[in-house]
Amino acid sequence: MSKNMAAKRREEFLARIRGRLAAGDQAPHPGRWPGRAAIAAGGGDPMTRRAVLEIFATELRAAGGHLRHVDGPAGLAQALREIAKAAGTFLILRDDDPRWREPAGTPWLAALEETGLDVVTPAAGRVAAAQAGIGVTWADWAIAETGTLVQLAGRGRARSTSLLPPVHVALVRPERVLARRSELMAVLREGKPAARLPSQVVLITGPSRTGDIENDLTIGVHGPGEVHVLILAPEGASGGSRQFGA
Amino acid sequence: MSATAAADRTNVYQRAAQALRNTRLGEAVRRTTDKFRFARHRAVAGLDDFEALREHARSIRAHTISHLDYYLAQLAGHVEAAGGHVFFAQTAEDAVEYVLEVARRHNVRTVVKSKSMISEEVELNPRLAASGIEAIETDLGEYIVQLGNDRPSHLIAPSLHKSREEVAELFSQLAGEKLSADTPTLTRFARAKLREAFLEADMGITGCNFAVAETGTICLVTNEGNGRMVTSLPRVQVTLMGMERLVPTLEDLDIMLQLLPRSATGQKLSVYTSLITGPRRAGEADGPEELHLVIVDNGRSKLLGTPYQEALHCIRCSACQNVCPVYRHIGGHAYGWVYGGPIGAVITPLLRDVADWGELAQASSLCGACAEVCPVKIPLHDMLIGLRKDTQAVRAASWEERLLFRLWTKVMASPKGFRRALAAARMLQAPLVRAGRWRWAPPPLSQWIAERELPAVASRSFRDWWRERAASSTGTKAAGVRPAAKAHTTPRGGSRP
Repeated sequence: MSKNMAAKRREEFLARIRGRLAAGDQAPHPGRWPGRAAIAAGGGDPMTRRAVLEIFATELRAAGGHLRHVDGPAGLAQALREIAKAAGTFLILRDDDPRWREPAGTPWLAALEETGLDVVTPAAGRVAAAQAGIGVTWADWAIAETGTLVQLAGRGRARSTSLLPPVHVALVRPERVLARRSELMAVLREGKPAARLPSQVVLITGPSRTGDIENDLTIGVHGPGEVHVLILAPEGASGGSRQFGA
Repeated sequence: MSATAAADRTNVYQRAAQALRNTRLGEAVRRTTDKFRFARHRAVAGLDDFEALREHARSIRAHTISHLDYYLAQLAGHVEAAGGHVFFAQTAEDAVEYVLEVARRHNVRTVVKSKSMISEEVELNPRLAASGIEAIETDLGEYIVQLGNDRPSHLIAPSLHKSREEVAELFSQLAGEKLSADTPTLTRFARAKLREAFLEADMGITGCNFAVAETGTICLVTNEGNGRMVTSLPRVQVTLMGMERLVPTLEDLDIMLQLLPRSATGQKLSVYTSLITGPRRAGEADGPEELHLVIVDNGRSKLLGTPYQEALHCIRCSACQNVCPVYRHIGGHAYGWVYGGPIGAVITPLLRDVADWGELAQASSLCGACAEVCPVKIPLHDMLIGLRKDTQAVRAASWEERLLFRLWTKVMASPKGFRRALAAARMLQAPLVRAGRWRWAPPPLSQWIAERELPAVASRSFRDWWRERAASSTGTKAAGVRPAAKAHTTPRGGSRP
C-alpha cells in the first residue's frame, strides 16, 4: 500500500471516530490528561531497604519463586552448582550482557566459569539456547509488592534467556529492588514526558503456569518451571549477605 | 461468517436449552467461575481502597474513549517512531487482508498465535488456512479449542468446557498414541509440541491487552509464557488490537495492571507482563525484525456518541462472566458468537446488529452482579435494559402481538376499561386458577407463564374493598387501623410464601 493511501485510510478512520464523538457532544481534548497520578503512588512512609527486601522475598515465594542471598562470587558459583544439580543439567545460557564486563561484573562472570558447567551465550544459536537447562540473566529491577523481576531488552541480551530454559536464574542487586510497580513506571519514563522505552520490558512474577486443563494448576507449561532469584551482596562487603543498602 | 449462530438460525433460547441439558458443562462452568470469583474476591479485599481504584480506572477509560481519535493518532505516531508499522482496519475483512498481505510478503508458512479474542472476532484462522498458512494457537486452552475445532467459551479459560478425557483424546490423535489423561502428561505433550512450533514459526500473531499512547507500547499479559515466545522468536510480529484497548500513559497502564489480573484470576500480577515498543533494535539477540500493529474498528465506532459508549471501556477481565447467574448456567457458547456473559450480551448486538442479536439482552436476570464487579464500572445491566428496548423497536412484531398490545393500550387507558377488564379476567380465570395463580393459559400468554408466575386477579379489587371499608367504618375509631387480613391478602399474595 502506498504511503498516501495509508495516510488517507488513517485519516478516514480517525475522522469517523471524531464525527461520532462530536455527535455525542464530547468536550475537546484538554491538551494534557489531568488524571495522571490522581491516586498517589502508594503513599505511606518510605520503607527501609530491609523491609522492601523482605516483602520482595515473601511475595516472590508466594508466586512460586525461590530466593537466596549470595555472599560474593564464590557463593554464586555454589548456588548455581546446586541449582544445576537439582535440575540435572550441565548447560547454562547466559546473556552477553554488558554488565558482565563492567568492573563490578567481572568477578561474577568468573564465578560463572568456575562452576565447572558449560556456559554459552545467545551467539551459540537458538538450538544451543533451547537446550540449556538454566538461563542466567541480570534483572534490571525487581518489584517488592508483587515479587516481580523486570528484564529490559538491550544490546547483547536475548529475550529467550529467561524464557526457553526450564530454569531461570536472575541476579539482582539489592539496591535495584523497588517497593512498588508505580516506581518502575517513573524509572522507565526517565523523568521525560515521553521516553522511548526499550524494545521489550518484561515483568516476570514466578514460574510459568496454567490451569487450562480442568483448573489443575500446572507449572512450567511454556516458560520456565523454576525461577531463582539470587540477591547479590556487594563484593567485598563485610557482613556478607545480610548487609543491605547500596 | 458461516460458522456463526445467526447463520445456523438457532436462537439464544435454543442454545441455552441445549447447554442446560449438558450437565457436565454446567458443572465445569460453575467450578471454573467459582474458582475465579472467589480468587477475585480475596484479591480485591487485599487492596486498601478498591472502590477508589475502580473509580480512577473508570475515569481513565472514560477520558481515553472520549478522546479516542487523539490517543490513536498519538499511539500510531509513537509505534512508527519506534520502527513499527501501523494499519487502521475499518472492517474484519480489512484486518484479515492486511495480515495475509504481510504473511505473503514474508513467505510465511507457519504462524504461532497467542490468545487474541479479536482474531476470533475477525475469523483470522480460517482465512490463514485457506491461504495455505498454518496458524497454531499456543495458549494451552486455545490450543485445545483449536484441536477440537471449537470456539473459546470463556475470556480467560477458553477450554473450560473440555474435560481432561476430551483433551487426552485430542492430544492422542495428534501424538498417534494413547496418552493418559493426567495433567502433567497432557501439559508435557503440549509443551513439547508447541516448543517446536515456536522455534520454527515465521510469524507471531498476538492480541493486545493494552496499548500505551504516549510511548507506542503494546502490553501483553499472560501466565504461560506463550505471549513472550510469540513476540521473541518469530521474525515478524503482528498484533491485532481492538481500537478501544489503549490508555494515555504508563501511569494509567499501572492502574489497569492493578485491576486486570485481580479481576480476572485473582492474581496480584499475571506471571508475564510484556511491554513491547517497536521491533528488536541493533545489537539485541532476538525479537521480531518487523512489527505490525493492526488497529481494528469492526463495528466499534458505532458505539461512540451513543448511550452504549461505555461498553468500549471494557478491559476483558471476565469478572462479569464469573458472577453472572445466566452465564454460570449456560456457558459461553450459548451466546452464539465470540463474547459470552453480560459483556457479550451487550457488545454482540452492538458490534453486529440489534435485529439479529438483540435477543441476547434477554439472557440476563438484570440482577446487576456484573456491574458490581466490573473493574471499570460499566453499567452493564442498564445497557441490557436499553438493548431490550432497542430490540423491540427494530423487531417486526407479529400481527397478533400488535393487535394484543393495541387492545391492551386502549383498555388500560381508561378507568372504566380497567375495571371492566378486571371483571372479565375474574370471570375467565376461574377454571384456570389454582392456589392463587394461573396454571394454564392460552397462547401467547402460555409462553409467558411457562417461566414466570402469573398471580390471579383478586376476587375483590382494592377499590371495592376500600369503598366498603369506608362505608362500614365511618365515624368509628377503627378508621385507618389495619383491616381484617383475610379480606385482601389471600388472593393477592397467591401461593407465594
